[in-house]
Amino acid sequence: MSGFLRIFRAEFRKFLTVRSSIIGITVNAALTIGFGALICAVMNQQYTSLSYQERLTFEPVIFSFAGILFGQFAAGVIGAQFITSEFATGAIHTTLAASPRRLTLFAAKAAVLKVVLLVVSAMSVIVSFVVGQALLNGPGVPRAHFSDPGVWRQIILTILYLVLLGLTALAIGFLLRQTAATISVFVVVLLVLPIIDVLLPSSIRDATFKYLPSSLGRAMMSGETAYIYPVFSPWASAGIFVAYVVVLSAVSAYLFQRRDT
Amino acid sequence: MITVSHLTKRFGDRAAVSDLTFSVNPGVVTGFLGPNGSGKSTTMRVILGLIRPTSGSATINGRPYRELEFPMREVGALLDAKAVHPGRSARHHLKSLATANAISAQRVDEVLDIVGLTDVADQRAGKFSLGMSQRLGIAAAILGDPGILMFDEPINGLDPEGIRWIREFFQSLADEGRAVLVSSHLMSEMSLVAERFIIIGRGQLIREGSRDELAKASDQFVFVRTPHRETFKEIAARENWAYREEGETFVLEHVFASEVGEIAFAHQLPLHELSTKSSSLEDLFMKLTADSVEYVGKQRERRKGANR
Ligand SMILES: Nc1ncnc2c1ncn2[C@@H]1O[C@H](COP(=O)(O)OP(=O)(O)OP(=O)(O)O)[C@@H](O)[C@H]1O
Ligand SMILES: [Mg+2]
Repeated sequence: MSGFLRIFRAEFRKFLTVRSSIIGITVNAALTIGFGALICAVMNQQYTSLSYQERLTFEPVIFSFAGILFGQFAAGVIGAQFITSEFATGAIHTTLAASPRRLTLFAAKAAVLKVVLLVVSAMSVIVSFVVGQALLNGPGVPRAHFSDPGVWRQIILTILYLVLLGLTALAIGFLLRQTAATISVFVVVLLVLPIIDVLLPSSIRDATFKYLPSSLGRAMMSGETAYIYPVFSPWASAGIFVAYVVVLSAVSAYLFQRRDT
Repeated sequence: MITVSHLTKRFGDRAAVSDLTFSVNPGVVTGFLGPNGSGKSTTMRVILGLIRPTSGSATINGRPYRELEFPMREVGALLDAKAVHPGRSARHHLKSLATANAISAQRVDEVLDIVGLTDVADQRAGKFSLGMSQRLGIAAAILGDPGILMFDEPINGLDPEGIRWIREFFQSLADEGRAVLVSSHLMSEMSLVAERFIIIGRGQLIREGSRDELAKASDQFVFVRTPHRETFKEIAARENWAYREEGETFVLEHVFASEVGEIAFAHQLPLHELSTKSSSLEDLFMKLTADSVEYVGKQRERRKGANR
């Protein structure tokens, strides 16, 4: 068995044998599905009182994905904890004694996270979609189907967005080594940066807003490119986010290889 | 075999280890001794590839640890018993290590049995007492049946029963032909366990040798009691004997008891006691490392002063 596969299997076992990861996954799925369902139920009930403009921009898919608001932070916490809990407990020393090739270890951890988040996100995003659309059942309420154009793209890119967020948190975790610091940075990037950006003069804002991870995510989830501020197309946004994650991971893995621990 | 060659590790401008060279051979327990802060843990971390040396090298059977394909089959190490994820059971912990090193699941059960943790193997490691954690750490160290073992202060926090168990365990590992390196800051702990000693202070090698070699280097003291104390002092001054007084007794260094006896006889000086005692390994260790301990003390004071 190749070195990578061995370490991958060891890391997979490690992920599945701590309670916090299982709780994280469950909470992630419950919040994502639950909140999406809640928003769809409310929208369904309130549809008749919506304004003309509101009805025009009614996006049934986006409403069923409302739980991603929580899911994105859950993905971040899962990704961060996967490595920072090892630094916090000192278990990283045991891990490195067993797997001293650090780039392989980094790649194996990233691969485990990819698989886990892919499976969990695929499940929660698809269930969110099905449950949400089923709840949008009032007379005249727009409702999406798997066969509608672009719906599969929205589903796939939303899943990808969650996987990329987890990998981002993992890479930050390898750099900062502390759970609190890692999650803080993650929250700042996802929540605070867009707020600051919106306060900037409109010329700067319009040039930069679309590059923020949160905007890329919104574009990846959206059915159309129209949004409050200009964003890239869904596929271009996905490409840019992938590039971010590749660069961040490369820097993080390189420093992990260089630094003492 | 572990080979440490001209190893230097600096943290900032301070050298934790400087130009350290030694090797650890199979078949014996080697005691790695030095006062607190002398660089024992740092050296072991470099050997395990956890920290990078500033210069010099540490190799396992000729290769750096980071290049080993199945490291746990060559070296087993216990540096920190608490370096385990508290949420994972002992069995899962060992199984993940086994998977990473292509070791069979059956071997996991075996080592759990050897260290006596079979009954609690499915409990979370975070609930373990220090003694149980040490045993889990030892189980991980011997998991790959390695030819080299390394333990950092393994005796710390063990009860007398545990200490005896671990002593016999180290001896049996060495008897099986393995190289065993055990660190401690107390010679009293090591003098019964180890056969060879590597003594460091301030990150530098102070003395290396077998128990017998060190015993030879230990000082011999001659104890003398006599009713004519003033006469004896005069003779001692004339003969250039270095002595100190301990109550009624004169304690002499760098002289043989036979010389003292003959000269006393020549002066017709009655002696009530003439005896020899060699200092213990512990005394030797204290003497050898006295300078480095003092240095560390001063460093701490200086640092405290700077913080104020
Ligand atoms: N990561 C680090 N950063 C800065 N200084 C360090 C670091 N690790 C160790 N040191 C310093 O290096 C010196 C050697 O420390 P080390 O832990 O190797 O000593 P030791 O012999 O194991 O001591 P002890 O008997 O107390 O365990 C100490 O002065 C320590 O403060
Ligand atoms: Mg130490």
